[in-house]
Amino acid sequence: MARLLLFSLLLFLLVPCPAGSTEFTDAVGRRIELDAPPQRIISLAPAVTETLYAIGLGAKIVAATQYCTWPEEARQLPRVGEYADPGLENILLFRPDLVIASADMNRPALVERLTELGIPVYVVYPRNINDALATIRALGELGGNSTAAEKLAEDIEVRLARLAAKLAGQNKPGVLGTVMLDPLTVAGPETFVSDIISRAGGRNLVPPGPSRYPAWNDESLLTTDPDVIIVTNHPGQPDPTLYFKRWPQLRAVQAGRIIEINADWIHRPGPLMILGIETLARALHPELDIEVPK
Amino acid sequence: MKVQSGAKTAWIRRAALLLLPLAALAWSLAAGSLELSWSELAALLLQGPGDGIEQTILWRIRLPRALLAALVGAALSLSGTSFQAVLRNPLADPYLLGVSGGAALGAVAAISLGFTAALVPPLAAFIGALTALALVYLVARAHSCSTHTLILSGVMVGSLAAALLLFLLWRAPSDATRQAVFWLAGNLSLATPGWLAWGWIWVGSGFLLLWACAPQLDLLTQGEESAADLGLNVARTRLLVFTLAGALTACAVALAGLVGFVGLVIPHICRLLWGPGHRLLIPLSALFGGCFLMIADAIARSVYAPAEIPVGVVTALLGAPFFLYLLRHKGDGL
Repeated sequence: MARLLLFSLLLFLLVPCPAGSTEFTDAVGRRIELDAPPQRIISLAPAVTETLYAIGLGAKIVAATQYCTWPEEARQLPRVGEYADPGLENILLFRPDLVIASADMNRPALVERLTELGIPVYVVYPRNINDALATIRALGELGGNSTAAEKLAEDIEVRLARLAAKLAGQNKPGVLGTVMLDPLTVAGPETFVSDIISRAGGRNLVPPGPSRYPAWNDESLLTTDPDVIIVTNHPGQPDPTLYFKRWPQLRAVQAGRIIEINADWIHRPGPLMILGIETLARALHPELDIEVPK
Repeated sequence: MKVQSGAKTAWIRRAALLLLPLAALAWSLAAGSLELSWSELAALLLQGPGDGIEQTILWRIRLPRALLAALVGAALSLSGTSFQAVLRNPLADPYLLGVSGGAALGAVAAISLGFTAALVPPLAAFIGALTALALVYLVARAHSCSTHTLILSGVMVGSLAAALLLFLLWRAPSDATRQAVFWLAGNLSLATPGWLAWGWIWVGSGFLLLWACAPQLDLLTQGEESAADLGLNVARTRLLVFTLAGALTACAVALAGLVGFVGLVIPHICRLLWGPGHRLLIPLSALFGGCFLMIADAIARSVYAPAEIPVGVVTALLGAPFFLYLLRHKGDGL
């Protein structure tokens, strides 16, 4: 038995490490090894696709999810399906040398299966703006383009700092970030949107609770009576203006502060999040004349 | 002396029974995101409806919702009582006979096809429930509506509906799925006051008709043969009660989605407490079911306020332990 152990230990030591291979640790602590910068990447999250394009690695993506809609070129990418079930065979058929998944959206079982099948999977898990910035940098290193990633992250950081300086000492309006209207679903404090709200100089009014995205009833809406309500446009959802007009008592309705923001800018922890933050800050603090670059 | 004190407790019980709905209503009006003390509640009630936030919440949100809970609870409990009597099966509940499956399929089909305007899913649910009921009945009629045929065809129609439902959910976009799941878990915040009035008329007439059938239901629970010997047209009675109970369920499901457990357990609780006679059982199970759902909904709204948990979770969490306790102490009354 001892001999066998020793033998396998020796064998293990003898297996050569490929020259130039680099080890990465992903956001959930898994280790992966890449021999060379990946050339055939599958992205399983829209924010990842956006980041890869923004740091000049878009050409290396061979397939993405059906929700990857930015930039325009991403719409032309072959699709591997939805987040929850991208279809294992589909992924294999693209012969990826790297799959980038999201801990938030993809099932751990899928990651396991792909790893078993010998495909390196890197999992990202950005839960707030700082995580998202770290993810941008990590994707840059992973894809062999850390200079561009660093520049992108720094650019966002500079804009965030400039905004923070403008917002210093301002009052913070109470904000309700809705995710859906039917059923009314709101973003709790432990969400990405919540960080967007606070960076934009607002105060998320949803208290902590068992659900990150709790369902609310009309009574909770009236009791909370937010200064500002953020809505996003979804097909198949009620018209936000009509929906809230049912309750003319609401401060946000009276002041006309139902703000519609592109859902992709405030839900996706990618390069567009800064647009979401600046747009929201501009709406929350009209008096400050905050600029949003086109 | 002993007899007298027995009569006295009976009176106390009856008084408690009358106070129960008032207490449930009061609790239901006081609980929620906005905490109201009893004195604030009384003041708001005396003020009458108005435009202030508190008044809006009390009069336009909580009161209709409490009345809806009472209505749905009563309808489910009534139909459970009737199904259990007519099928002579303690596991029979409003949802056993495919009615819930049909309703769910109708609502989810409407939602996943994009017909999400407030009135469409409830209407589709209602139509789905009645369609399932008709299908079950058509199959069972070929065998003069024997209880076994009714139950089996009900379960099969339910399975068929469940398979179609899973297919629809699988192909629906995630927003629609969440909407559908929310509906399936039971929710009392959806119905509008306009529906409420129709619901009360519907459930009220269902209640009166079933109450009128109380003697026949008593006979049926004794056994079909003896009922037939006593001159009861068993098949016809069974069909009538079956249809009435199914229509009540359809109404409840259309108004509040699938609120589980009330229709199964409240009739048993009432039977254990007040015996099997339907003349008493039918009004009491309606009363008890209504109060039970009002209280369960008040809890669902306030435990994690401002977030709301599905009321079906509360009904089962409250009802199952209470029922187990009764079963342990009152034994074989089923």
